[in-house]
Amino acid sequence: MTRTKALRAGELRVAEAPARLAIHGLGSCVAVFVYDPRARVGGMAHILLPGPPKGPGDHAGRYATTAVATVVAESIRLGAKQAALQAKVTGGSRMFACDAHKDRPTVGDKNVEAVLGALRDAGVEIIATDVGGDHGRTVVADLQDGTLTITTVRGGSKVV
Amino acid sequence: MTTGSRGRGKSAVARARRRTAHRTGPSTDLKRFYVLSEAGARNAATALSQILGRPLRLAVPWARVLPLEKVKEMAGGASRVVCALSLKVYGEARGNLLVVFRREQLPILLGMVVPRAHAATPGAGDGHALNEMERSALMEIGNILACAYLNALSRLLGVSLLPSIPGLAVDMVGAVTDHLLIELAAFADNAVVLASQVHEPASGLKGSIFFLPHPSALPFLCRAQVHAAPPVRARSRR
Repeated sequence: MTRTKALRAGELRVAEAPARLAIHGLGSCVAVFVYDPRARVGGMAHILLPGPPKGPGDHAGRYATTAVATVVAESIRLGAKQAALQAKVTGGSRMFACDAHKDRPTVGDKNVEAVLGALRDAGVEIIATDVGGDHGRTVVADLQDGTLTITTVRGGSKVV
Repeated sequence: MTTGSRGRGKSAVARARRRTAHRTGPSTDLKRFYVLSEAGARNAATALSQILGRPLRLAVPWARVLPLEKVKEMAGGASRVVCALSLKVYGEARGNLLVVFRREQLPILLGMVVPRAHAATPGAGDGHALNEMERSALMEIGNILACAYLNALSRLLGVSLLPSIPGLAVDMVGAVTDHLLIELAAFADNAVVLASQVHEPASGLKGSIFFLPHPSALPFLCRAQVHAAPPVRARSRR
């Protein structure tokens, strides 16, 4: 049996094959999945906000900058090579569209921007993104082959 | 136990949490939230019952302090698909209101409020193919429930509270509660949740109302004088 571990909001987790990491009902939060295909280890984070508030704080998984840094560091600790790491990013929806604020970037957009920026800073190649839209996603990351399966309630799932 | 405080809002939540942790007696703050939650729900139920022309029951309301990561479990789990109406609440007790109906119950609810001639083809109840009329009817229900709920709170607290235009989404609980967590996560590790449920016995229709006060509103909510019983109850006694 393959073990699937569900991540709660603000949580991050690293694992090695054949585990699976899942996030159920991702809305304007962002999921980042970092994976080394050769070592078959990686991690995922369920990110709420772009950056941590001022001052010392925990909850590394809650913020884009700290979550990306921690997932990368933890994956390397598990045996991943920094240069081999690949990232997939999803989420950042606008769940409740309101016409008056259509042009303003949402917190989802800001989260996506911050995650992509943090990945670039960490030198991790971004190989797939599925962001934005006005629907929720359930995402399952398979550490066996590095696939990320994204399911929505409108039917259909896709693998990136 | 909660960690060090990061601002007024958080310390109020921390205080509320600490009080519940002891379990030596009902927390005054939570009791007060419970009174607000019940009054709001009672008013909302009255309003909805008048729109539907059917008697509605009020299920036991609750008020709790939940760790942020547990908020998604409050409406049946992160992956349950629901019809959610989300409103921002402005005023001294600002926060977010979420009205939730289960997806399976959408046809029942729509059947009560949308004339059959305007209903979309069967299957529209799954939420993806809601037509303009149905969307607008659902948003109106959200609006009425929210206004009734907030009116009761306004009266009890003696302040004015205004709802925003509702946003409508038929999606997973996790997805429709993300924005609530995001808003709170910048200030606190816990969320104060006021929950109540209205129930229409004949059709089995159930709707849940969640009010999550903003951390900055907690000091006010904990301090404000609560004015007697809600007028709705007072009227029915006469």
